[in-house]
Amino acid sequence: MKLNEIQEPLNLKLVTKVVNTDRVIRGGYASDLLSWVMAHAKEHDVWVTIQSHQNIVAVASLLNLAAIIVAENASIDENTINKAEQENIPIYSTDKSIYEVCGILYNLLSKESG
Amino acid sequence: MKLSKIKELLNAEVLWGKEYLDIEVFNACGADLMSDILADNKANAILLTGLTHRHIIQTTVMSEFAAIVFVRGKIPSKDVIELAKEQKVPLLKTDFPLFESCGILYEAGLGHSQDNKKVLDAASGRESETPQVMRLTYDILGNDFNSAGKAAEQAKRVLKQIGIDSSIIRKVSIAAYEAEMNIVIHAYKGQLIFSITPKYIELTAKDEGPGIPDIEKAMEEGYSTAPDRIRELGFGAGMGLPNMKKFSDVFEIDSVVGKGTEVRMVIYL
Repeated sequence: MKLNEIQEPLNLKLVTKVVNTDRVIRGGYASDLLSWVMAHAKEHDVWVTIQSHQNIVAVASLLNLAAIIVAENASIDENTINKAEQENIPIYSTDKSIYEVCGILYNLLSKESG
Repeated sequence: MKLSKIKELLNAEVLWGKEYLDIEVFNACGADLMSDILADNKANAILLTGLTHRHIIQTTVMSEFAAIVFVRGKIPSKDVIELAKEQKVPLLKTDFPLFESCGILYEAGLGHSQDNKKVLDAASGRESETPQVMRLTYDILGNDFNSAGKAAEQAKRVLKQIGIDSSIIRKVSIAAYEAEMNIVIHAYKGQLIFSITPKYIELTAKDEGPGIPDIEKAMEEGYSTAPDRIRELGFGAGMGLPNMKKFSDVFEIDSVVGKGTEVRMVIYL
């Protein structure tokens, strides 16, 4: 499944400019603890969190994650967005909670894999 | 064989280093993977490659190649040529692809004829030398959350460029990121040092800081001394040191309270 296909069902707003929204998603991961994400998220996962400082970009870039979804309309620093654009990491914002995002995304991805 | 002869055989153009055309070379290495280039230890050899980024110059210097011949018409950028000048590495360019360049030079006797004895003589003199190591050093400032993670990211980029396997890069990146964050969170300042060899990557994180009073406790998952404002950022989960240990093959930690901490990790290639 591609990033642009989850945009509508999750009510996502793309906050970064010119990034690869054609990217294929392999799975998802949710946590607000950066070390936990470092240890457990996998390449091409979409990461769901309410953290929004610039270090989330470092984590996503080191792990080669497909995108970051910042849930519950948490405000995102300007620096975070700039850095994400440099590193070519898409960041989305949504009004949905982490729970809802995970639930919907889980169902979308498992429907696709049958 | 003289470098000038190689230039002639490959119909090559000298990008820099005309005054070095008289040097004698005995062998060649053809490779597009930096780790293969680092692993090559022929004496007085030239490097045939299609890689043109600046790490190729550093690698050439470390592996003591006499010159670089860029194949399939590749030309490096100006700053790479400048770096080669500083390091006194002659640069040539040929339109032949790697396969043909190797074939032409081999056919002409480079690396397998009367030069052989000279090669052995030259090589025996190098045996006691330390193996090729590429070293990357990054300074880290305590409490600088804006640049935190930069060192790990830059090192990752270098590892990618030199063709290190992606599963190894993942391990090194995670260990490096955690080490870097620990310095930012807990120490006044520190350094992250990567030593890349043909067999392993060694990562050393050393800092000047408060030190760790109880290392055993610090190694427990979930134990953290980070203050609340740091935990709010999602750090301080008590997973830093355990992650470093989990993702490295060798893990050593040494800490003196009131002075600082040094962590050494090795990841085998």
